[in-house]
Amino acid sequence: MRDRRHLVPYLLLLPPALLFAVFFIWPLITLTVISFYDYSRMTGMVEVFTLKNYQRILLDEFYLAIVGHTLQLAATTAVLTVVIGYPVALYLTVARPRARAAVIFFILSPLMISVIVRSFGWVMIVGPKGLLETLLSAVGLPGGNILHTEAAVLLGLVNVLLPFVVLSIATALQAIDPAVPLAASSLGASPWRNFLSVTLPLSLPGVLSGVLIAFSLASSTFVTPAVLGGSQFKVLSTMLFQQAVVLQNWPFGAALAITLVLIVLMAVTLQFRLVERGRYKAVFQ
Amino acid sequence: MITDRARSVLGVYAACVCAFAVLPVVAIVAESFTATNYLVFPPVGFSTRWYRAIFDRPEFIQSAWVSLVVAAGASVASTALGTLCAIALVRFEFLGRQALQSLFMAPLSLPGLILGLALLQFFAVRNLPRDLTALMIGHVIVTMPFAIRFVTVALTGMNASVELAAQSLGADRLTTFLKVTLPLIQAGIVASLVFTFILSFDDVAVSLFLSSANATTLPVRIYTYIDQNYDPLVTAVSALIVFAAFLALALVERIIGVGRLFGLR
Repeated sequence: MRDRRHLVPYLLLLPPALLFAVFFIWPLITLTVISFYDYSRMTGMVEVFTLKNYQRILLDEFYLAIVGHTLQLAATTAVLTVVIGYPVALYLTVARPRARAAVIFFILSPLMISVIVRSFGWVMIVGPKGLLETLLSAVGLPGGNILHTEAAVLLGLVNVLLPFVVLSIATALQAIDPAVPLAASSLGASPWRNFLSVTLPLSLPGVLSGVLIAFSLASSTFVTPAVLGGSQFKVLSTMLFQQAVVLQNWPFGAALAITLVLIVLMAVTLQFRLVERGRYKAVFQ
Repeated sequence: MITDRARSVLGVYAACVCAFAVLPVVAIVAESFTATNYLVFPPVGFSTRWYRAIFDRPEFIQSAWVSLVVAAGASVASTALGTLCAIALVRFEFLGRQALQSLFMAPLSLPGLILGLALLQFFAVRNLPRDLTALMIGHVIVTMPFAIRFVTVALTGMNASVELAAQSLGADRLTTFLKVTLPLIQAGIVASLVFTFILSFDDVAVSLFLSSANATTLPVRIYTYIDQNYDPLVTAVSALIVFAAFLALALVERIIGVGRLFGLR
């Protein structure tokens, strides 16, 4: 069935390719073009070329701080999620079948529920009169309402991204040939030694890929920072929404969007280069 | 290679992380039965008043319909187009194959927020309406990589020589596909339908920009509601979504298993 220079594959791909050309590539070009347009409150969007929007992001300390905050939040989330998720992925490789199935179910099933629901769920826990406040006041301690703080956003992001990270590390651990750690232990390596010098190094690609997936998702998630961080919590995603939708400043919103794309692309490219040479390679072979 | 003690320690830790993973979902379902006027956790009393209160807010019912219609349309379109892509990419060798494959996978790397904003501006600049079709188009783009993946896995998993056998016995390409290939990749197609439906139904990032006064999806409705209100009504709406997700989950578990859906053996 493998044909060369035959028309059939092109005919098959024509409808989806058209859809992507019109509603994916073209809108992204429009977005890029708009990010170079001018805007003022009096005139609205003006179709003249200007670098003003990007200058504002890179030179204005206020916006530069927001870029910094986005990077820092995404990096903290990524590292935290990987540290919390690694032992879970490791457990999946040694667990008995039923325990393993249960852990997979509990870790992955939240993916079926909208991120808005999962983020709002944390309000019951860290918000006013929430679980944390109730628990603390039961032992006579003040505080516990951490809604609209960095900590609340971090909790929410780690929770939302955990399944992706566990999946990525578990896949790498699964790919390790069981004969290798077996050989190490038959040569007298203790379980700890075996983990530290065999399993852990062999799983590092999965760890790195988990960090980068979590980083790119954390830097571009809107709902969790918006719900748990409140209106004063400023990262690129919430800022972009505010500028483009609330204030209707499309050019500046578009410039913030392109900045965010560049950050995410950086992480994705790194992942391709360092880790997998294409996440989808395995699927297509 | 691992002592029983180490395994138990890891097991206890994994159980804690599992509890952390489902905590917000459990909290929201518990809270939806509170008898109070305000959010308090643990909930006080037991009542179904907030479920009844949903019926006084027709906008939630309307949005639920919007979400269902969009998800149904998007999952069918995405799976149909994804199947075309998968067949072309798996069964044929042709010029530009690599580039097209990267194009169709690109939405995985692009934040939904960016595609949402790009489509919003694209539709507005060309005076196209933001309606159900606009939402569906956005959702087809973001879900297609997953549809392609599911069908690709099914295609590579089946024995391709039965297609050759059918053709050598005189079946044309279309007959071969309908009578031989399609029945063999059925599970992948069903998995794709279910998964893209769920992705579309749950989406916030793209819908946030493409929703309008007369077409707002349920997750966006929830977001705008909690942006302005602070009461348990939304917990009841969310709990209903959770129950629906559990039904879908049971379906997925029966068809292929949750772990395998995400590529875990």
